[in-house]
Amino acid sequence: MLAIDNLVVSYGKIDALHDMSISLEPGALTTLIGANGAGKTTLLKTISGLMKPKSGTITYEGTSLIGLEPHEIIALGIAHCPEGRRVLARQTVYENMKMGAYVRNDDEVGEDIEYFFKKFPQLEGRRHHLSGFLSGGEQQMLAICRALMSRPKILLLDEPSMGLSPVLVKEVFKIIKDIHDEGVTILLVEQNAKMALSIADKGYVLEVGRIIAEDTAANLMNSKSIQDSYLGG
Amino acid sequence: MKNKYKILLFMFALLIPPIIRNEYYVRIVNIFYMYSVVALSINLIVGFCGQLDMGRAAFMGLGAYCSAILTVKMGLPFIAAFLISGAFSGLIGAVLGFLCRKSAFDYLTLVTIGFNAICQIVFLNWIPVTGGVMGISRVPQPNIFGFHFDTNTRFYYLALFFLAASFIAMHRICNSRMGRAFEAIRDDSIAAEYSGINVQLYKILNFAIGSVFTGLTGALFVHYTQYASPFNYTLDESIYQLQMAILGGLGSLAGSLVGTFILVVLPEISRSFYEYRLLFVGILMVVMMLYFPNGLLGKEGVGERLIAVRLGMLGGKNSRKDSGG
Repeated sequence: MLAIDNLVVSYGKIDALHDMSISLEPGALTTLIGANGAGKTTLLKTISGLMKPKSGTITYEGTSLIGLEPHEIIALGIAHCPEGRRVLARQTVYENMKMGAYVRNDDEVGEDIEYFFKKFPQLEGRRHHLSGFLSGGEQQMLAICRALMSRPKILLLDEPSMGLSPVLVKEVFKIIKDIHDEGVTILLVEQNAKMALSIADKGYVLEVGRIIAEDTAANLMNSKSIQDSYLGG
Repeated sequence: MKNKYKILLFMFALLIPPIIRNEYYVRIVNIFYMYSVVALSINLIVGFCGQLDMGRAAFMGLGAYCSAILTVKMGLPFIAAFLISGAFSGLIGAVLGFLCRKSAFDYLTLVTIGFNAICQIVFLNWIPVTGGVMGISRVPQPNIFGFHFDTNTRFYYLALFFLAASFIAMHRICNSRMGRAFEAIRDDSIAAEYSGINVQLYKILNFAIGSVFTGLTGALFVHYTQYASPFNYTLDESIYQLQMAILGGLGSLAGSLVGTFILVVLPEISRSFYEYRLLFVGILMVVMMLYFPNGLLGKEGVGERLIAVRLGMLGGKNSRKDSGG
């Protein structure tokens, strides 16, 4: 569905991603794990058009994404839920949701918003609150809802567990699993490798801009070296 | 409910000249109306889209000179020159917006200050076209299809109509799909980009639309004062106009009118203290920063505090949080 081949992305002279190749299968939940600075966020930013690659190809359902602007890529059906949530703090929860549907011009936006409110009752109660006043977990839910409001085929999730309490992390992962069960293809980037692998179908392990392992999530979970370096032994 | 008050206010405004019957006061109100439109355009750019533009006077100057040249040197009728000036100013705004489309906040401010200086130099030195230091005099008074706006009172109705039309247009823009994009860019331009907003395009549009209104005001102004002077469009003037928008409250259209009223009408009322105008404004700014950091009618401004008092939940800075947004 989405194929990345020999991608090289750099910040100035320094390459952040070397020769990266990844492919997403339709309907699969793929996870990308790795330490800080491994290049996970850079990869997501490149897919959604915020960063331009030096070389390599990104192909989505047969069309190349290289050179497209972020708003065009979202319109194609790839939504990005950014690191650190980035909700529009001075706008209400409802307005944030509406903003997620910016690229759509059908008239079912209102229905979709109600659908997500039904699914996330915590947000429903805060419909008209400024989103800057929500708790971290609620903001994360809102950020995910906002990304889903564009009715994406692929959802890119960047560190959804960042800064959340263990209870909320569990809740957020349950939500991600639900979304996956509804048929959305997901690329999940996480530092919390154990949680990510427990819900994923397939995983990639990233180290300093290179992929060092690629396997089904279950195999990665059982691999000795991965356990030692990422799963806390 | 709210619209009813607005219509009442408009009806009252229609009656102002017969009530005050003083040419000088009517003139002040006329100037207040025109500056209000400038403050609105600044609000659109700075308040709604978050682009700190400090060169609005340059666009007023572009509109003014364009209209003055078209009418005096080329003999075009007022209404045509007026509309062309707005379009011209908007076009230059779009070009400047295009050049600044990738500039971050503070760089954009520097570019606009520089642009203001460039315009100033062009007005002063392109003598065959702008008349240099002499400016352009004998600019005809507004004349729409044979009706002369040659007295302050007649001009009053033109200015009032211009302000009302601009206010309604701005209100529409700010509450549209485009307005939501502007606000998203102001709040977090990266998040706006993640939401699928073409950030660069909307920044250019915002600049162009704001400049149309500023340019139109400049043109109307020059036909009122009948004289285009290069010294009217300096950086000082830009900053003064910016203060009008900030004082009233960025992001509040009605606030722009209040801010302009304070900075245009109050110094005139206290004419004998005119020398101390800047001192007064300085003190006002300090007090505002301390007590109303978002302007009189902005967030946590007078309006919200009154509501908070009425609901008996005045909690200082957190009043918004308590009242649930």
